[in-house]
Amino acid sequence: MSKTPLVDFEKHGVICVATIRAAKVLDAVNVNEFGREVIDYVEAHPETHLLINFQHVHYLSSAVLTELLRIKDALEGAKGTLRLCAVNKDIRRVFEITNLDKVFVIYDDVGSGVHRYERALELEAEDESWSKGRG
Amino acid sequence: MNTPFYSITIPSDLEAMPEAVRGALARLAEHGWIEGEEEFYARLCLEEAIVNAITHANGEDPGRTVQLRLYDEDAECRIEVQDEGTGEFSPDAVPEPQPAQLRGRGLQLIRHFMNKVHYSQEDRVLTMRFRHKAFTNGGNCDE
Repeated sequence: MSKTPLVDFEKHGVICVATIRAAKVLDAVNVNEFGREVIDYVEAHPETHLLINFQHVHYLSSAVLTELLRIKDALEGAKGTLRLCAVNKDIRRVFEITNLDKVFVIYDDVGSGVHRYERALELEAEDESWSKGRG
Repeated sequence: MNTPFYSITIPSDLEAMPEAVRGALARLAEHGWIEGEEEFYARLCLEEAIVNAITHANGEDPGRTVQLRLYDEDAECRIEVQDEGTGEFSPDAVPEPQPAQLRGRGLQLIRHFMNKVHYSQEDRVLTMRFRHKAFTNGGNCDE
């Protein structure tokens, strides 16, 4: 019998929302499974703009922070980007203590996250076309 | 010699960690060291220390164990995590991680909440001390 995946992937326009649905706790025990599912998706779908949704996650440990940095590297290596959303206040404090709130863009919830992420990508594309125009 | 109010020995297996941590959190709450949302951060410190002992010190060797002990010590709670590894470790020698650096954040979190963090190479014991409300206000680790 196959195991239920930890992460659901769902396309919302140009953004792919990765919702961690099957685990309230992400720690050293299941972090490899989480990382493998996301990296497998990224390898199969280059140039993905991924929004990881933590709305069902109550707790995470530093092993997950390490995994998120690996995922970010994998995405950037495949011309993609990574942003996060819907972390609870305790998890947000973990990001702040470790200064990773300066590394990851974190949106309050999925709805505003998708909207603002799309807008940020549009602005980046406009900036790029202006730069090319000037060159 | 103070007697621990909680003591457990687990194998070097990450799957054995959650039950040990659950037991420790329940006893910390009973002894008045944590309440409410402080459990999140106490759990974080316990797990980070145990994961380091299982993976880095003991190398996940099934023949080696990790002991967790909790002590009441006047105004402080003392947590001891003892490994059976052979390598050397000094928390003071581990710098604060750079933003994109992969490792070192477990110790960074422990230092944030604990008043004191010390590792005895001879006894293979990581000792962490914290005071009331450390998980709400931060411990400002001074050792």
